[in-house]
Amino acid sequence: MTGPAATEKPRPEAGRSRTRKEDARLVTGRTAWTDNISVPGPPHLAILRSPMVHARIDRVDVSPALERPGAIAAFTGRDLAGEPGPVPCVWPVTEDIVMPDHPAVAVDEVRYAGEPVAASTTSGR
Amino acid sequence: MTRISMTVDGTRYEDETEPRLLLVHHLSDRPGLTGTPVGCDTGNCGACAVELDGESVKSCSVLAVQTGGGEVTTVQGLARDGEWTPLRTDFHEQYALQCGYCTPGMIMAARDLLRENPDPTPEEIRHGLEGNLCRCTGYQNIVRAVLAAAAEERRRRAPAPPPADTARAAGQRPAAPPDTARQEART
Repeated sequence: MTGPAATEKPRPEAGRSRTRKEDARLVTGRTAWTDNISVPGPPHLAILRSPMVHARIDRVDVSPALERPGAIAAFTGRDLAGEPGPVPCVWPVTEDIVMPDHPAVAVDEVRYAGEPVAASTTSGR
Repeated sequence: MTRISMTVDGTRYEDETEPRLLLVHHLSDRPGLTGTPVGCDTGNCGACAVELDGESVKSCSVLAVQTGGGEVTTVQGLARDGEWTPLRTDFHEQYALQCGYCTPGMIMAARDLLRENPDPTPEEIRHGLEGNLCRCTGYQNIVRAVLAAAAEERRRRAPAPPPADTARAAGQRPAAPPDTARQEART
């Protein structure tokens, strides 16, 4: 008695290793991650940063930025303080870790040189 | 702004940068070398590993100004003329990448590991690459790839056997590896 398995030839693809086609660009650092994609004429974001290491913010006036051609928006830390609020720590490594509020843009006080104080966005540069 | 200079993948760059700028951001924003990805921005994952003056560093934990005129090698600078290095070939052949995001850092860290230890055990490879995370969790195949690349590097570096009996009879030293082999071994 011979079943079909005895006479059937193995399918040529089954059980064979296939090397991946996408590796060449990945192992050479030449792939296009979404962060690397640039589209024509995107809006630009400019960030004003603190020159001071630690200082109180008395006043930030973003209205001149809104008068520039192509202005889309300009905002201070105070504008963002309610919503979306501080940047969460997504990886508290211990239970007793101290997690002070970390605003994306400084509110009332800057705590390091280079901390964002205000931001504006325009269409084109 | 601070004036900086560095050699990146063999090209000398002079630039001005903010002192706060991280090396990994500088590499992608200025010379346009986007092959070094930012995985975590906190020094955890190692995806952004590059070489600074011959040693592997996480470029999210180095400021651009800290390069101090030094030499930076990224994954994009490893093979000239499109030739693949043993690490690249073996990552490909051993299926050591899936999404490929950790791969540049894995390759740069593995280079550093093999320079210090040309014949590592699987355990030594795991220890040497513990600063590099693969979120596809392809570690088994990464270890296999590094083992295979180490064997290939050793084979390339080994002096060629003396040609025929005449060399031994004449008391000559074994032939040095050809120039090409030495160049490949560096990459």
